Amino acid sequence: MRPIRHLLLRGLLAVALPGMVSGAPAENVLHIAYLQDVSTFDPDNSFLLYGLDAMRVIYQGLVEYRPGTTDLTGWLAESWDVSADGLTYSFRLRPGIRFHDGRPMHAADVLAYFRRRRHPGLTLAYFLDDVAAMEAPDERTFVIRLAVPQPAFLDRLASAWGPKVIGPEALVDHLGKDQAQSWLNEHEDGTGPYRLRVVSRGQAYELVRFPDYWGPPPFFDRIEIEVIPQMAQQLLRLKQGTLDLIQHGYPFEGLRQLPPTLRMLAYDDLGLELCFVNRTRRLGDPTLLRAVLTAINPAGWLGDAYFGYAVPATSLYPRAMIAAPPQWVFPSDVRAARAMVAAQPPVTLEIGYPDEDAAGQQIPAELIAAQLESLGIHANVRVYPIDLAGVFVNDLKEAPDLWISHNYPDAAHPATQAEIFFAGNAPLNYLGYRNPSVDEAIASAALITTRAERDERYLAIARRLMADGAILPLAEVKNVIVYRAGLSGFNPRPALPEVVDFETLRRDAPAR
Amino acid sequence: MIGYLVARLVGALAVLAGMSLIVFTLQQIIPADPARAAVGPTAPLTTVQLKRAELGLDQPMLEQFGRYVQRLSRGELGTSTRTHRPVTQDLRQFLPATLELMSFGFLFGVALAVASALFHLSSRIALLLRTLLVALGSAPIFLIGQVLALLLWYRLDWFPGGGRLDAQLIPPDGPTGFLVVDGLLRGRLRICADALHHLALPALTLALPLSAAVGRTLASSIKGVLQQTYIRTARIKGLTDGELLRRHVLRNAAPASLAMLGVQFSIMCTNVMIVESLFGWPGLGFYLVQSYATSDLPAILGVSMTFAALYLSVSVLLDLLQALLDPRVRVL
Repeated sequence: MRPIRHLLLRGLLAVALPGMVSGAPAENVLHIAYLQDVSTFDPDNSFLLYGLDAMRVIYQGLVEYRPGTTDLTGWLAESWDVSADGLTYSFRLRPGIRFHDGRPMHAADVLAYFRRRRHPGLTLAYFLDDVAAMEAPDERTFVIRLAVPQPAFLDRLASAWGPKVIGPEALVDHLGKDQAQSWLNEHEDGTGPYRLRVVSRGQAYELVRFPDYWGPPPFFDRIEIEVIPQMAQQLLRLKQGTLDLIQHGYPFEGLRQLPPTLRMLAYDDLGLELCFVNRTRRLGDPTLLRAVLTAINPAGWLGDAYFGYAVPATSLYPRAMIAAPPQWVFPSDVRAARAMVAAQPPVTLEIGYPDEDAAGQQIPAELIAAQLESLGIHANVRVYPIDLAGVFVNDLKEAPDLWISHNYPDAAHPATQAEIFFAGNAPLNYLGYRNPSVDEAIASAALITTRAERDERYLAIARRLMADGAILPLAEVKNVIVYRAGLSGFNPRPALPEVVDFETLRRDAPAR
Repeated sequence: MIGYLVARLVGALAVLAGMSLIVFTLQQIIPADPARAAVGPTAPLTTVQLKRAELGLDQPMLEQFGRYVQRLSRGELGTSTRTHRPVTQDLRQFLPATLELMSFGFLFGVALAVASALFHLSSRIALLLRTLLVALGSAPIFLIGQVLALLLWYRLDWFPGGGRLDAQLIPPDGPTGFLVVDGLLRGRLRICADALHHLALPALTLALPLSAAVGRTLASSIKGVLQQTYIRTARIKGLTDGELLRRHVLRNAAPASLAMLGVQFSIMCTNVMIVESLFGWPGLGFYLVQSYATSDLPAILGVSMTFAALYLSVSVLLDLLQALLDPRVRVL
């Protein structure tokens, strides 16, 4: 019965699908998948994770990070100068750049784009908050003047979510009343090596090579991106050979026994597993806090949580941001910790973690809870909506005692870490640590231009936070890409989370 | 009959109004910040406040409710904080996929239910089929979906494991949004065949629980009707089995099955979300799951209202059908 049914199905399709087999030359096509749909293709209006790799081959910024490093290099700008007072940035644009609509890119187009990026209705406008003025004195020069010196400015431009130049098809032809937001949700006019050809919301996207690209042509003619929300199905598709790689969320436990047709690339990014401590509840007691730190110690649970794909973090900055000797050591005397807990009245703590990364945070949170139990501290583990975590500070008495989350800064400059997580008014200072002297130190460190001195200032800030028991480093977890043998040229960059470089990716041998 | 219809419609509208109130209340008490969700976790407070004002979240609750009712009366459901598009536009895009899947799942389920109930009448071997249906239909939907996908897609490669259409095919631009129908209307048989091919697994997954429950109800109703004296009289009058089934048995056995169909449809509205996620089916369930992951409240509420309206419409339709088949229902 089976062969007949199979034959019938195939036959029906063959009749219905004429031209399925064509004589056209074989194309190089890359097949990938996202776990979530792409929210928008507007580079100024969303913190994309799914779609970030597509976005960076459609649009390009003035500067970017070199592969494997946090060093800056030119992208659409071939060079730049910074004035002595640190206020004026002059960018010399590359010649011969064309937008996907065919029009050449001039400095005036870049200026028009940067004006759009500053529109307060756009989510990512704040990247240019300190800009005072901009001009395009000639076709290849674009100048930005800042209101205050901001040594992290170039890093903000190179950020995964930094400004990326949009062309006149959007900003002139489709500007409308909403700054082309509606049009850019599903269309693009970038300068990158790929054009967005197909947008099928919730199902699939297709990128095709842009023939007039200013740089070397990429290897793949097309990139087909499917939205496959189930990891189990992505794994089967990868094994089957109908997907070429998985760059988001490959389960660590599955990395031990990869089939021979698959390879794996693990690398460090700027993500850092941190523990925020609520000092307005029981952990305001330094003795109890010290006992709790003994249980939090990642040495006790890291292997079980990440199967060897994480190392204990020893600073509040990822190594890719500041490479420094260990700044923090967790206490490890379990007997002393038990004695401290025994001397206290019964303690119950609450450990919280965000729902947006529940799969990654649940196991560490539960392992920490188990370690706390072994010391005699009862701990409840609870998942919270991530946007609720942003308002914990409004009522810290109701917030969890410990908050565990995986955190990405906007860019590779330590200011983007300190200003987002450590400052008193930082948006992700989840459990409301406030210390005016730390805020002053963050503000003054943000003005330092010498890298060594800058790093030392930021490390001192981190040491203070850790000594106060406010924020603690837990782990640096590897980013993992699993791919079919034969692919190469991934060129991961620490500052671009889970991003494969489609521009340099190639297939060296037939994969199937 | 018209009075009955009006009463049912008024009832449905009242339920919908109540539902909108519940939805608004939920929006207020859910511990989520749509403004923060919209601008992203690292955006500074000023950006969040701007977004809050833009969404009207800084207004008193009563005023927010007034604006909410106003918007609803115009058919506006707000703007999705994830896709940055009006929710109604998103619904227009994702709803046809769900309706297509549910229609096929529903029809497939009813066909299987009727077949299993009738087979039960005529063949003992068919008991095996019914047992199988009940066993499959009683299992959790995600398990059925995974087993079917593993077997019929991964192992046997008979059907695609996910999606609505082959990635290389460009779907036609309407007019119905049902790819099978649009493929036929536009003369693009390849689209039609491929869409049917993709529909098979998710529709079957969706159909199995319905077919098991409705099939069982129909079978027992038929059994009960066959024991009635008027059936014996009809046989004596010389009616054939086919005539008997058509004119007396199915008509009298149908009301109970229709009631069960209504119950099963409400379950299907929940199951479709799981099935769409399992098979990467780009419909409302999939849209809801993705929106939930980003606390996109306008989208979540829009989908909830849509499913409520869908359920009420089908419910009214089934009530009417029941009233047509059994006049006693109209006076209840």
